[in-house]
Amino acid sequence: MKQTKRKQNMAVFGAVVLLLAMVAVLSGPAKAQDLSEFEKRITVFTLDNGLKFIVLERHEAPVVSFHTYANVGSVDEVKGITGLAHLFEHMAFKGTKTIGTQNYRAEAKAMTKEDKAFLAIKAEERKGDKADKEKLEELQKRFEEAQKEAQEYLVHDEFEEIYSRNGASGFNAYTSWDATQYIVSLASNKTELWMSLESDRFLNPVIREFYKERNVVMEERRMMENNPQGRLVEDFMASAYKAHPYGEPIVGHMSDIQTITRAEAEAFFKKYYGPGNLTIAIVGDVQPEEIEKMARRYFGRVPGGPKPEPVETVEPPQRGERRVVVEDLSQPIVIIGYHKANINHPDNAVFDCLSDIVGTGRTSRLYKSLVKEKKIAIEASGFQGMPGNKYAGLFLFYAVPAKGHTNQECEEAIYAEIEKLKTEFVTPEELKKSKTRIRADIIRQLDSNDGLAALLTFYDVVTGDWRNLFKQLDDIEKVIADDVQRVAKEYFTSKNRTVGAIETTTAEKL
Amino acid sequence: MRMKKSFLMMVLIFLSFELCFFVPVCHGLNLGRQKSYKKLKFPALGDIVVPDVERVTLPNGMQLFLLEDHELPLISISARIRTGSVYEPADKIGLASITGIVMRTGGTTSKTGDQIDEELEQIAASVETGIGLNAGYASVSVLKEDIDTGLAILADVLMNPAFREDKILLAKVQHRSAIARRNDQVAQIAGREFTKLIYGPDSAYARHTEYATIDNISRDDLVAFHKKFYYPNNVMLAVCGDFDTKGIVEKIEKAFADWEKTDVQVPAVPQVNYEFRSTVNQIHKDDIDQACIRLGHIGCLMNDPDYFALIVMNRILGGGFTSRLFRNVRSREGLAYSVFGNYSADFDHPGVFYVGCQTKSQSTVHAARAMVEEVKKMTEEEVTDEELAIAKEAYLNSFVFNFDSKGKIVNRLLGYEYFGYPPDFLQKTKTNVEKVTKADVLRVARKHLQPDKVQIVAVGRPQDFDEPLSVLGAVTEIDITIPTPKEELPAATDETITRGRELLAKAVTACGGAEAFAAINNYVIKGDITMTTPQGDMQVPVITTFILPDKLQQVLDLPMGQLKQVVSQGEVWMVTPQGSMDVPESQRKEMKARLFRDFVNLLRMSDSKELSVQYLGKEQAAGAEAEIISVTDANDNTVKLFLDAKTFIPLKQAYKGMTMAGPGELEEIYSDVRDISGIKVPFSTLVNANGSKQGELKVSDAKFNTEIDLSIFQKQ
Repeated sequence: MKQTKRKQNMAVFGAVVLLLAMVAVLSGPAKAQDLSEFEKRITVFTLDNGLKFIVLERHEAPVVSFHTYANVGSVDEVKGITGLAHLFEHMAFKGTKTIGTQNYRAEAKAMTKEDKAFLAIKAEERKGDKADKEKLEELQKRFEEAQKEAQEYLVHDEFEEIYSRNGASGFNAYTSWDATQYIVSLASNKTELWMSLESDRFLNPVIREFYKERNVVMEERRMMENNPQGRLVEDFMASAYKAHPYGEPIVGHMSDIQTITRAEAEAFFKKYYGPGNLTIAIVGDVQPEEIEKMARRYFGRVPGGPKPEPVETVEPPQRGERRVVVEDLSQPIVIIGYHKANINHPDNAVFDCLSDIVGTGRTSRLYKSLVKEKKIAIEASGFQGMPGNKYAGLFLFYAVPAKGHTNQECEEAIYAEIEKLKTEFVTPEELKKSKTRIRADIIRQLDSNDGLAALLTFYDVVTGDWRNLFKQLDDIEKVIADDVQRVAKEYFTSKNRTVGAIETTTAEKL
Repeated sequence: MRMKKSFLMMVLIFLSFELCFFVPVCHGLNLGRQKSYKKLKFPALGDIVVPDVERVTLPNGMQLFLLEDHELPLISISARIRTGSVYEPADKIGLASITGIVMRTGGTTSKTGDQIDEELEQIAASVETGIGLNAGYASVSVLKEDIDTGLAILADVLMNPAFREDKILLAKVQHRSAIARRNDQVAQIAGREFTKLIYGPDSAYARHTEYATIDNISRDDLVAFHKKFYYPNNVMLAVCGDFDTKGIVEKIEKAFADWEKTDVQVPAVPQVNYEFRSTVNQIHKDDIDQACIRLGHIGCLMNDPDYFALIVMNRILGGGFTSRLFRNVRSREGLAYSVFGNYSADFDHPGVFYVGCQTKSQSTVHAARAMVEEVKKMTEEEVTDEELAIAKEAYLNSFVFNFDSKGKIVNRLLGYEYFGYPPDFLQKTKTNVEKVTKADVLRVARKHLQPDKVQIVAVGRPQDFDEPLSVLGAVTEIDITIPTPKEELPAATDETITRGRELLAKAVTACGGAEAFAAINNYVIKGDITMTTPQGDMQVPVITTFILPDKLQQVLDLPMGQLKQVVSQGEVWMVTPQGSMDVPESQRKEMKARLFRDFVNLLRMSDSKELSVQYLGKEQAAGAEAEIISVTDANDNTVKLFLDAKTFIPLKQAYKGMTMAGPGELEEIYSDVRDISGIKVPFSTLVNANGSKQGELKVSDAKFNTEIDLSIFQKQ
């Protein structure tokens, strides 16, 4: 999956391991002729309100996967509300006006009381030392009472429960810098259940249990902070990006999470969850005509609206190398990133070949040099796609030093490999191998409903056409050794570089 | 000999279940309307005809499970070999894992591992091997046109691994690095230590590698381990993909034709004898603000007749968003982002029952209690109809996903066969889950859950917990310090001991004499440490104060403020601008060792009975000929002293200790030795870690027996 977060049990976008999964998603094409094979089984339609559906028939087993791709990620936040895209993802499991409540009207009144008390607390707390303690206590009490009242109307976790008892598999959601995605698979006879629930989710969402869920997200943030690699990635991105929101953490800053209001979450939903900003892929044992009929019936009722603007901020060129160090009791690791263009730039195909040559498998240059020959690292690789693909991202190199070796040794060894890319051509064998592997990789990704649904929405939204899943092959075929050298020279400069490292501190070593 | 065992599994998905609590309202004619989910009626899901898996036993005894899948032009093979880390000796933990890795990376008698890498990656294929707890694995993934290459390599690595030394070394480096990193992730610590509590630290199901067990493994061990288990009649293959069954069986038979059947006796896996008990265990990890908790006891085997009711109980207690743990600990109390619980069952040894969460330090005990309470509730009263219905429907309605890929089907069948379960075990499970009642759930909860006898482990900052963990029971501190490999010393003889003592006495004489040393009460050394970091050299002023024999204070002026480290009568702590704090166990040991190794202190206590000394030989060191002796203290700290063969003044010392990248070899090389109040003191000390420079101490001033403010050794 993309560099995203799982609803449970997985640290957000932290572990470098997770970042690596990116490579698989991005490394592209099968055979160009597979496109025509696929085109026969794909039906695309767009509702009047702008909601787009991509339906792929796959009758291997009586199951179906649904993938809702909301074209909104943490990049769409502004300062002060960081973490909101992700918080909203959590809220999207809390139900609707009819699901998750016994009496929506009464519940809404109680929630208004909650919000009032919360805003009053915020206002009083802003006074700092001069805040009236008694008043705060009183407000806190009122807040808790209102919360209790709202709780009384709750039907706990009804949304999850419906899916669970209907045998849903892989029911989950992810938030990344680029997007928020909601996924679930069901036995194919339950298609209408999904239609009913998912359309209600985006037609009548209710942001209930808001303050409680914020606490859960705060724990999630702590979990990320307690992961040394999570700490590194956060600081690294903040150094690499000073203007573009790719530099902000998906999970948000603690103080922002603490102070975000329900009204802000509602406004965010209104702006970014209009049907024109959603794309849905349905893959499995389905009949497209039936799907279209049902989709019009259920999703047709969602009112249309203006499409939100994309992020306009462009990251200015770096003026020199940037470095960030996380001092930690944990073991060392080093990441080196170079700014590059987004996925739609013609150089993307070159970077795909490059990442295969330097970073994929035991015959890749970094593995051979750092792990097999020099034995200074236990892992070393290079890949693109972080933090995202919609906007200009990074090409990342990283190494995990072997016991007894340092980040510095690994960093130097990586630079030596980069230097070789600039001064020598990659061999015809390397280039051929990379193209073969990229092609085979995509074939291997076509074997599951949920994987296909993820790919189709990703390529359709981010590159403008799902066909690019196959068409990018043509660009990759055209890559020659000169391109690889040109790209290495152009992008892999010290000025364009950010280096991040975990340096192990042990007090007795000082 | 071929036998085809055909079993057609008809899987019925029951629709009758889901409407049992929602009142169905028929709006059958109004097809144009959106319906609330409660009013939906679903069409029947067709019967799933599970494809026949072809079973073939080759003449050499290898068992094949085959299933054609023509959707994509791919073929995958997964092999299972009856072996496992449960069969490795206790002093060579890691042997199975390293054997499994090097079988592939170390190449075969005809090709190096690197040549195999090249060959496979050119065709975007993979062949991998490994050995886990109770099985060995191998896999092949190829585009169908490359199946001959894939099969040939699979056969070669299984039959003829060469175990080349360079790749053994690489695998050992990776294992040692994993040891060094094993305390980085809090959840990993909690899981590992909890497992040791349940099965016992030396159990084959819980034990783990140490530097020493990795060091003990030789190439001969790998060869012997392979030879013991890898025979065709001890191997099963699951084959799935775009092939014609008859054709591929011939290919496989040909590829493994030279592999001969051998009589191989693999003993049963070890038994587990669990004694239920309550324990409370605490692990200090200071760099996190959440606690990670695990609590529970032993679980059961999958062939336990209660297994089916336990599946239902599991879903109610800890299975996903609708479980009691999730609702009560996460959703209602907002205590944790992640909370989980499972009564696990394994094929061939009892699983564990555990519940756990990661929560902010200030909620630790509260969360632990809340979780125990949920376990207790399971044993006190029947679950509700609603809970039972949700749990059973969730299982039964998702049953179809057991059949959504052909690879899953064929591998599952192989797994059942491997562990001696009937091929229709899944189907039986379903039938039995359907029959589970509320009374069954209560009965198995009472029989299998023992909330009063759970073992608890909490990793975090106990100083920040809401209540001391001791409110839950007597607390045992678990030390997770990674044992550094001990200095391997030759067996001492009377001769080497005498010679060692003599040399040490000569060193004392050369550096000022026993009397002068005995007169030292304290000394203060001022200077600068230059540390080598990736950002360049960093200079830090340092003052070290010793009161002999057991007090040491080191003050470092770091850019972020002053850092003091104190050792006083066995206690170790640290004072930062934020205040005083305890240090992790590993650092405590290291600081005490540091006191022992000090140039002056070591010579001063040279005639102590607690030290064992022996002579090791002669070697070149720091450009001169050196006599080497080892000195070991009562705490098993060992240091090697290299004495100038002519003057007997120490040239350097070497020891195993912590480096920036984990445990390693350190050495301190002395120069610029000056005479201060009749005592020799090195004014320059170069510190090397694993052969490369880590830092240098330049002394600017050294004084003996001065006035010292004793309050610096009082903990604030």
